[in-house]
Order: sequence, then C-alpha cells, then structure tokens
Amino acid sequence: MSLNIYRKQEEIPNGMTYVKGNDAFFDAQGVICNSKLGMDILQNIDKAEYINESAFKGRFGSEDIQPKANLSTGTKTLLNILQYPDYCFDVCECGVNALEELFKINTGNILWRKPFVWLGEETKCDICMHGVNYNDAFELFHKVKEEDGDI
Amino acid sequence: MHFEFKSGKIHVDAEFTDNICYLLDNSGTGKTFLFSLLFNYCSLNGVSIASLDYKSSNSSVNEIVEYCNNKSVVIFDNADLYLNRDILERIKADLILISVKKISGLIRKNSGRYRVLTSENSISVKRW
Repeated sequence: MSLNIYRKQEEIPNGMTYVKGNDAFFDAQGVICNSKLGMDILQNIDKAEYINESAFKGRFGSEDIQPKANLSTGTKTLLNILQYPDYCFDVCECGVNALEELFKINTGNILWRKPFVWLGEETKCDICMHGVNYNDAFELFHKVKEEDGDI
Repeated sequence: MHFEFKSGKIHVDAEFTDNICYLLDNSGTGKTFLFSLLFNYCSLNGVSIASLDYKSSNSSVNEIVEYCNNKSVVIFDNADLYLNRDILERIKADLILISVKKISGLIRKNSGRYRVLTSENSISVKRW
C-alpha cells in the first residue's frame, strides 16, 4: 500500500470520486479515529485529544470539548484520506504542518498539484506518483522539480 | 479596525490595519475559530458582517457579491474553494478577512498578511 499522489485532476482514475471540499465531506461522513496515526494528527496539527468519534478536547483547557466539525480543515483532510482510501482528496487547503503529516500516511489518494514541503531529518515515506514508488521524500521532490523543468 | 472583547474565558485582541487581510498560516492555528468569534461579536454589536466558508463554494459570483456588498466586515474562510479576483474586485467593505493558502491572483492594494496567535485564554493577530 502507498499514498497515491495525482498532480492534475485529469490523472485521477476514472470511477474514483474526487473531493475538493474536505470540511463538508468530513462533517457528513468522517469520524475522529483513535488509531495512533489518527491521534498523532489530532495532536500535531490541532493540539487536540481524542474523546470519541464525534468529539475532541481542544486547546483551551479541560472544559474545551468540541464537536468534530470544529477540527481544522487540515486535520479533516488527513482523516478523510485515512478513512476513505478509495476516494481522492484535494490537499489545496492544507497548511504546511498538515502537508508534513501527509508523509506518515501510506494509503489513500490525494490531488497535490505541487508536491513539496520542507521536511526535517525524517524523510521516509511510502508514496506512489506516476507509477513510481518513493520511500524517500527527497527523491520525490527531485522528481517533481524534474517534471516541472526546475532543474 | 480593532476588536477587543471577551468571549467566555477567551480574551480577543485583533487589530487589522489593512483593508484586505490575508490569514496565511499552518492548519489548526485558530483562523476559523477567530472568524466565528468576530462574527458573533459583530452580529451582537451592530456591526454589519458577512461570513462565507466552504458551504458557499457552490454559490454564484453574483450571489456572493450581493451578500457581501455594503457590509462593514466580510469574512472569507476556506477561500481556496471559491474566492477569485472577480469577486474580490467587486466587493467594497471596510475590512475583508481572507483565510487562504494560495494567494496568487488575489493580491490587492491595501492588503497585509496576518497570523493568528493563541494561548490558553487569548487569541490575537500579528501582521507579518
């Protein structure tokens, strides 16, 4: 299994549903998941903690219990990707911190027009783009630059 | 325009010194939360305000412009999904707040970039 990156909407396979509005999709169909990766995403992006599938503890103290709809768009996007691996989700609304978290996901499909983000020392990934598998994010970024004529 | 008020335990102190303010930042920094606080504050204090988000992505340009015009404050959250130059050029307001990741094509005069800063009991903005 890999996370599949498509760079243009036309590349998305026929029959695969494309989702641009991640908030609306998550609010209607998504849940907060209690897998380790799901909880890491909550913590790293929203500084939130899992309570149950529909509620989380926010950053404003112990009484800050909020419904899932109040998660950030970045977190919702990543949870969509994890929970609906047969769909393709647009990551255009993800902030840099959410894009960094993408590299921990090894399943699902995304539309990412310009795959690049500054990463620290951890560059391992499991990504497939244009039929090629990448286990190192720098190799992926190099390929993106090559495709775009930047090198 | 300067907003300073309390909402529950949270102290809001947000000063916007540009007509158009782009909130460009990481995910989960509190942009949408700040917008909801400002919307409630303005609605309760007689400041005319229009607020759009992802639920507006199917609205036509004319519908959006009609809803926003003649408002003192206009909020565009999730603007990557629906905001374009045409809409922005047709809207006149004292303050336009835009949460967006990609601003190419949306840059206008009298604009600035802002970050949302949150702590346990406060939320504010900083121009950068």
